[in-house]
Amino acid sequence: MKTKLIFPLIAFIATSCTPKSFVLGSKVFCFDTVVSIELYEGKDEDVKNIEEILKYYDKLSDNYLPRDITNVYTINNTNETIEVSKDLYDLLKSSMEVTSKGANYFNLLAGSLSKRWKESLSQNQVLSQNEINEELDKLNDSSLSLYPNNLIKRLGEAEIDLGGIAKGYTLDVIKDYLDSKEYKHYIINGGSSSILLGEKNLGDGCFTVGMQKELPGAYFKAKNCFISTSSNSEQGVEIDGTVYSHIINPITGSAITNYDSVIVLSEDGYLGDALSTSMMMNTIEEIEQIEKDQNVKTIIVKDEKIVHKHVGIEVFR
Amino acid sequence: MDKKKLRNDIILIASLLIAAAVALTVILCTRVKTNLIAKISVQNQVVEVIDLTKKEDKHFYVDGLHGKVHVHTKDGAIAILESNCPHQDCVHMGYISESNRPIICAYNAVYIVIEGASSYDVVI
Amino acid sequence: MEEEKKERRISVHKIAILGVLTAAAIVIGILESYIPSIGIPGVKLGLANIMILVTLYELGILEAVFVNLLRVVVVGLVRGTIFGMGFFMSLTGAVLSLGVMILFYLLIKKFSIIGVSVIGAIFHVLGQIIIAMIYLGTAYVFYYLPIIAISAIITGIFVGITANLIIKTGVIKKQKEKYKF
Repeated sequence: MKTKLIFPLIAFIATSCTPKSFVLGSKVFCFDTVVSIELYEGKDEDVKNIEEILKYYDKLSDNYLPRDITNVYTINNTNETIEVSKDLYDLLKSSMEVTSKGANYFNLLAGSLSKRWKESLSQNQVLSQNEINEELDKLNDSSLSLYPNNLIKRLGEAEIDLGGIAKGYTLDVIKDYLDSKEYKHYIINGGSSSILLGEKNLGDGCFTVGMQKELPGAYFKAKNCFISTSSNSEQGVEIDGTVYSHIINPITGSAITNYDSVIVLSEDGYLGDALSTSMMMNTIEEIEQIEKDQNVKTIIVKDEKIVHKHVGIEVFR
Repeated sequence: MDKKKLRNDIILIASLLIAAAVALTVILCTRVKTNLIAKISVQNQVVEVIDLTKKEDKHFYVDGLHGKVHVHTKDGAIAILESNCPHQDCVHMGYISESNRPIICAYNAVYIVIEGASSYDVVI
Repeated sequence: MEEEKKERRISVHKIAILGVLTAAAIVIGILESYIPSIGIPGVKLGLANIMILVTLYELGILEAVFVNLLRVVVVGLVRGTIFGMGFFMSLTGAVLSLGVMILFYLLIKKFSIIGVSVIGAIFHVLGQIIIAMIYLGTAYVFYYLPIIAISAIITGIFVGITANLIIKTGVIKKQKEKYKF
């Protein structure tokens, strides 16, 4: 009787303490956060190549420091017509296109408005209407124009900030790379707010995505898509009972968003990123329309409840 | 007593104890320690979920079957402080901060369990 | 008249002994219900099994069933838990445990009273846990299973030894011989 029990016991222990399966990974500090690369197929070289893509676009979209290539910082410090690299040109072009693709509250020139709100909130102060109007005037008096042959011109004092779109755009570039190698199994996680999901090589291939910060205990399943998340849960500042977000409405200058968290599932990273911030200011009807027009799926959370969810997503709790 | 039967008894007891010990180590091994959330259910319906990683000090009341149950979270742990159940087993359990020991108040059908969010593939 | 008396199946003396055993089982059951349970509420040690085992080994299967069921009901009435979750846990535990003990006592004669007691103890807590799972509607109670199982095993050993000691004193045996039941 003793021997009969030992074998199943050993099998039981063995199965519950299994080692992790094959994964190539790396972490890169870029876009002001840690981007983790997890490849379930491929070679070290692929990880290196993806790291290069991340570092390159981090440099390109950097609006704080000059780098060895013409980047956003360069553009922000001149009002002259300058020639930029094709990659930067395309990035700027996509960032301007999103406004006509449903992200009507996304404005790449709202950099200094955001910065000012951030500084004020870090001292627990709300910007006065005067200060907001100052920034809005600056914004409305500025523009970015794109000309053929990779020429661009920025007018006015407003600064370009691609923070709300650069990660997603870079993930698109990474996806093209992975597709070119015909890899299917990966997760590229851009600091939790921009994620590129491939598929698992188990079962239905879906990854379980936990919504720890937005709705603790809730999760959904997804694969082969981009997941972009905007949430006030970590960066929101509460002053006198109102929560002020790090996401600013570029039209009204307000830091109060309609929702606590917006999660967008899309086929294009740059669009998902832009929509996840922009939709924080849309009404539910507008969000439903954008979902249809742009073929994206969303989960909208407010007051620890889901106020809208695309029918194609099932949220488990 | 019959020696043969006694010997069988010892084999039986030894096997059962080994099985229990193995099960215990398996349970301790699969304990999840990171990204913990506490799920509070009443009659098997989840009524409240708390993110324990925030380490908030919060008091709140859950509507149990026979009355309100006083729940408290602090330092990433959760406990039932007051309940109108006769045995007070749930109150005696104290604070739990690990994922393998649920607090159960049978009288009020209130049930608190800690789960690890790291059981997800990715967390947004 | 004498022959009628002899034909009567249940002797008064037997009833008296059953009464003592049942009362003892009930008292143990009531005292036991004050001991707090580890983790899953309502899971009890099963010390009353001492009397159930003695009844089974000395007086028979039907008698043991009778004492067992009566014990569960009376303890439930006295403690006020009757028809609550705790009552059904006790009932299921008692039925399952006695059922398995009868099986081993009658058919699988490979274990001594201690072994049978341990098996009975395991199934006793198992029955209680199954009802707890149905009432609480979850499988998480499994986490407490190993601790409860170990305590059940230890209790079972203790119960078995005690029951054996009671049988060895020969008190009931003397009564059986004297009054021929």
